[in-house]
Amino acid sequence: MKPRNGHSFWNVVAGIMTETGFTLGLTFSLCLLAYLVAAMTR
Amino acid sequence: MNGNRMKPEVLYYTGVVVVWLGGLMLVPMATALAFAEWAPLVDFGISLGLTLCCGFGLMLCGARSRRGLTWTEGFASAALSWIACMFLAAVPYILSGHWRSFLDALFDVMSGFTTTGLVLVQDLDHIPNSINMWRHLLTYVGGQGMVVLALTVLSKGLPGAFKFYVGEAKDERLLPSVGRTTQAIWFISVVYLVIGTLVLSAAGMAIGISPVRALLHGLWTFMGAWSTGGFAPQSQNVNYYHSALFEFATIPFMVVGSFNFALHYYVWSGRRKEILRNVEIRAMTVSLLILSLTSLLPAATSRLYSTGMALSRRVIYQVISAQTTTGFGTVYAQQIGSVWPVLAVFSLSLAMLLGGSASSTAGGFKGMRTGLVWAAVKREVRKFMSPESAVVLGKIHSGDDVIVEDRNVMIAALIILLYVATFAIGTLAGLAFGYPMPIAVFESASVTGNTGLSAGLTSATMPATLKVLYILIMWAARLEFFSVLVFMGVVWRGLWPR
Repeated sequence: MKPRNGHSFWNVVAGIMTETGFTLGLTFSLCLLAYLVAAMTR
Repeated sequence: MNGNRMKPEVLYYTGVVVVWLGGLMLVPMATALAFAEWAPLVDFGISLGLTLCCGFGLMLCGARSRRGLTWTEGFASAALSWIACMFLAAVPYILSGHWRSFLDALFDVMSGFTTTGLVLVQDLDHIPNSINMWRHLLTYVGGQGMVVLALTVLSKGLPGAFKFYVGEAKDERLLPSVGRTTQAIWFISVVYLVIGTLVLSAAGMAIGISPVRALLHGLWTFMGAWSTGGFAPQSQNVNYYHSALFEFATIPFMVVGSFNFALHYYVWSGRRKEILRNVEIRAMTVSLLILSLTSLLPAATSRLYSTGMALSRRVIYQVISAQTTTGFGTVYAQQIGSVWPVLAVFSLSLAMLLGGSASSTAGGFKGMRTGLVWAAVKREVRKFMSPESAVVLGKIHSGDDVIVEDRNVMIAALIILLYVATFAIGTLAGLAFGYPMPIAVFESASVTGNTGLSAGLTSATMPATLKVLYILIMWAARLEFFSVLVFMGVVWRGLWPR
């Protein structure tokens, strides 16, 4: 199971941005859920 | 030890890890020098001398393996290393006078090493910077693994190093050699250390903390987040900052800290879609969505928090902190135990037990195991629904598509069972000491999942028996039981046959 491209500088940068983007997207979705629940139970 | 002596290889490699621990003490010593903290500097000097004496003593009593470690030696060395390091790392704590007893100091060290994050320290808001550096360094290194640290340079001359590495509950080999694998783990961790420290320091300065203090708080908070340890420099944890900006800045580091190091490696190698296909990420996402909902609904309907922002900052933050097994808190521990609806408390407990990814810094069952068991359940259901002659295979995706094999499912289910049994023991112990059911369940889930959120049970005044039990649970759960069971077997019967 080998990586296709290896660890070039830009791959590392893109990888970090991918992970951060995923995490922020997930957090945003959960916060949206919180706002929906707050609106529904008001 | 049943008339037998501990195998020399176990002592030797434990000694090596202990010497590395001594090397780590140079970091808080440098901090003490930088901030002119002379009493802690002396404490660390004494601790360093003692640690090096013990480390080199163990190496002299033991012997380097020429033929390579066996599984028993690898597992026993890993388990013994953690015990030896716990005692020696607690020396600066007890010398500082901020812990009421040596048991409390041992508890906090094990809590740090196992990235749990529960604390018994007294007057945390006024401890020296060097002691705070030591607390966070322990949790940061504990997240990667003490053995991983030692193997980063040691493995070349150690045949069978992989068995030592697996003994610390990391079984992903990112690269062909263990040495290069551990170097890759450290590379990923150090890159995030730099980014995380910069981001959190900037967030600290943005809310008015002075630059030097913001840098220290940024570094320590990152260490607590990335290692999914949950230690923070202030007694009120992340709640101390009273800032949505700072709280949200910690979330990405908690989440990526709970990722499998193999996933980081693939994503950083250009395989970016892996993050959406990985079984552990999918398991965590589904679990986060369901448990967020089961926490939000009772919190909102009971009017505990009524606005979207309050629900996000209090409920969603705790759920993410619990699922990633970090343990950062934005509500007071007593609030969870006394004010939060029981359904929300149990949802957080389940999140702590499910945990993050395998081969990460996180605790809990791990997404790999829950994903594997779920895939096996789906496979069996499909088998029942298919013609008898049909061959039905289950698969999960982790790096590549992997066929679900019965042996792997059995091992995953066995480890989950051990986690559940340990959680039950912790809960029963809490109940036996008179704590209410939700608090006993929550605290037991927190130590079993190496999380660190508290419902108010864990404090310096809790019964000593419970402290000892929690130390044992944190240790066994972090090493995923087998190393500890092998170590106990070794101690029980000795390695040399009569």
